[in-house]
Amino acid sequence: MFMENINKSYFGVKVLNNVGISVKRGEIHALLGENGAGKSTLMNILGGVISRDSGTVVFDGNELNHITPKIAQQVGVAFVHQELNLFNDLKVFENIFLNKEIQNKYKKLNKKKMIEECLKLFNNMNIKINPTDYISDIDPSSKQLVEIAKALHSKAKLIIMDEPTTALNSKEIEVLFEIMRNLKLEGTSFIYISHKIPEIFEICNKYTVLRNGLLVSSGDISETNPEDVTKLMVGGNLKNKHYYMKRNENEIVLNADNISGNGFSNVSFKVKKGEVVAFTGLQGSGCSELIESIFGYKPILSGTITLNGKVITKTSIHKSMKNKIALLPRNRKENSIIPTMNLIDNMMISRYCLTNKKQHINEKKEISKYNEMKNKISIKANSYNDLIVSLSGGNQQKVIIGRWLSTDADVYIFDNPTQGIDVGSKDEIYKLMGSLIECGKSVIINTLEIPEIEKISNRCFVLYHGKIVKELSRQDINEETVMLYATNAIKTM
Amino acid sequence: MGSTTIENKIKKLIQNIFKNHTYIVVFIVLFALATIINPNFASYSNITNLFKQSAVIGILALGMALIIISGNIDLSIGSIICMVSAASIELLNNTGNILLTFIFAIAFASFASFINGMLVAKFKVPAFIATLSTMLIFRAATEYFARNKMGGQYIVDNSIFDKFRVVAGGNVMTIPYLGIYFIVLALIIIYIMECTKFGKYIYAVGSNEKSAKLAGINVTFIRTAVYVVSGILTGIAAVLYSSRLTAIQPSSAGLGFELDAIAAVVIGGISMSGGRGKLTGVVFGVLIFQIISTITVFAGIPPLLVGIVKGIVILCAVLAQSKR
Repeated sequence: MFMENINKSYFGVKVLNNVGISVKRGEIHALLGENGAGKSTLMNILGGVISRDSGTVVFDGNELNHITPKIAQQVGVAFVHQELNLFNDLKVFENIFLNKEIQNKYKKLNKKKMIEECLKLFNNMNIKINPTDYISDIDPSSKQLVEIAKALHSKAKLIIMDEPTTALNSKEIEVLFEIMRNLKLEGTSFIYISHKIPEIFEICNKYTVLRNGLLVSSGDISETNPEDVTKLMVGGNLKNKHYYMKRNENEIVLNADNISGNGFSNVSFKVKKGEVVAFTGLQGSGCSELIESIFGYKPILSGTITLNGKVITKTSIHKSMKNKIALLPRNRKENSIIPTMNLIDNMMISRYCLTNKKQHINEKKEISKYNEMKNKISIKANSYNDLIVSLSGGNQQKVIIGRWLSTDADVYIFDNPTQGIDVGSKDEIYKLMGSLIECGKSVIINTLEIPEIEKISNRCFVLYHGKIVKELSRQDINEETVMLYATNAIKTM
Repeated sequence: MGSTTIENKIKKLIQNIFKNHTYIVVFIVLFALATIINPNFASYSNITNLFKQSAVIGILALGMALIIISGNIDLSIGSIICMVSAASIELLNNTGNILLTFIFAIAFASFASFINGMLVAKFKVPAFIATLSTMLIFRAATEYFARNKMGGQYIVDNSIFDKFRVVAGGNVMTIPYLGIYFIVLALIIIYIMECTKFGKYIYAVGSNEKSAKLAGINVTFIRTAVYVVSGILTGIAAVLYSSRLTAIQPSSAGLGFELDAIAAVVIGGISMSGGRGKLTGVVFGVLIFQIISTITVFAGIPPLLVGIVKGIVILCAVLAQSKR
């Protein structure tokens, strides 16, 4: 199977530029790259989920011109998705046999036979899942295994696995690898997408690295090493460090001592007045959960948080706000904007919450406050009465930043603040953070974009599997080092 | 120059009305239609009558509007008004104190709505199911308690009858009390929704619950509070309703009121998906709904066909608004 010169653009932005990959029979091929490098796009083209702009796909000697999910399935491509694609309200065996049901000539389903075959499949995989359980009742790792079993059951010639091990423990991963090795001997090929470098070196024999939609390198795993691969993924490009200024470090504002919650455990860190602290890690590393817990959106199960010398026992959003913490959530559309409200209400709503005693809203006062903020952070908008959804992504985000600046907090948490925002607005947001620091505020930023961390932060905590694996100080922050810790590749060195 | 800018302004205003306040257009069209059918329609006495007749549903619709804006629904207000009216008449007959009856009705109805609010906000029961259940419970409970009453109904005693009737039936300089109650309550609710933080929270919660929560709004409290506000309005409506009828038949009193209120809210341009709509629209929605009834009478449409006309008008009103 090989794909050649694949091109794909979204709204004029090239996400794949003459990218190709070739996979031989009985090969496990690692597809590597940072978030947004184009891995998923390439695989979705192969799976027929999205169409390509140009390029050729040849599978088993046949050229495939127009791929639909059904054609992909027929020629023998199976897809294990990163986000699970199972139906929660169907039973395990029904999911595995979906669209491939065993039935008699009156179209009556032969459930007994399906369950039997399902059990046989699970036995081969050495896993214990009851085929008649509902998907909603089984745990995430079993779901992942069912998803894999579904791909195996389809007797595919090529199985694409997109981050298949994120929900599995090491024992289950071992079992999965064993199955993969056996299938490989039988001639099944795999394309294996993972951010976990050690896994790649354990199971794969070929690799292809993508960066920003370009093919960077391809070759045998045996001829490379984790550091080189990481370097290839992030690229050696220099970043400007314009936004960083030497800051006078002052007293500690926020002190988290050994806190645990859903998705993270035993995390300790301190944030000082006037500094930017970054948190980073791959998806599932627990960064987002940690940050949401500090803000009181999710519970903290053990450990203590001290803010301005005050121990906060039972956290809640309102309490955090009273204690001058602000959170700019990730996924602006889902978590930040109130789509049916106008700009002024969207901006002022959090300040309203802090001044509940006075219920009457003095519109004139609010408008002058809004205009002040609008000029301060240069929001491009016509009337304060326009709906927030009428603005561009960057300006929407600025309105939400304005929302939190209006609360006059001391600690500003930014959760992926530049997600889906154009370069110009990104720039302005970094500058804004800089001016916050100058005013003696503290900033915590959680981001997946390492260049962003390089640009603005004093220190960076790298998380892996819910634990802080490394604290990097300013001079040590660069993409390679961060990725090495974030993928836990350091252990293999 | 001056005249063109004024022209432009008027043009913009008219465009704005057509686009965002379709209910005003519908109201004017129906009003004109009714006047054509029967010139008496535009008379003073008939207009005051219109307010008088729409007051009870109108007050209920104000509460329903808040609930719908917050992203929920209440199917039980018809049953609550029945239950509270029955209990209020019982209390009135025993005490003869109208003020006490008022306070009791408001407290009782708020409590019943508070239960709805808790079920929906705290225990996360879908509002449709929660209030469908309480609808059945409240009505059945009232019917059960009325089983030994004379004629199975609660009747206002003769001793207090005349005094109590004035509560809803009286006039100030030919303006009926009922109309005044409705307008005053509508103004209060409009003020709450337009000019207070509480009102903004209701819109925010109905528009995007997660954003509202992350912005610091106590979503559970707001959702419950909205039901309680609706309960207060239902309590007031219950006293007015009892005062008008002076007898409550538990099997039929307030039957279908929740649907009339929802219809009025929807005609008034409030989105069923929450977060959108103005309370002034509800006032028009209520009046439109009442005009339809009046027109059908004036036009001599058989009572059995009134439902068809109402249904068509609701559909037209909603279709006209959904084009946005």
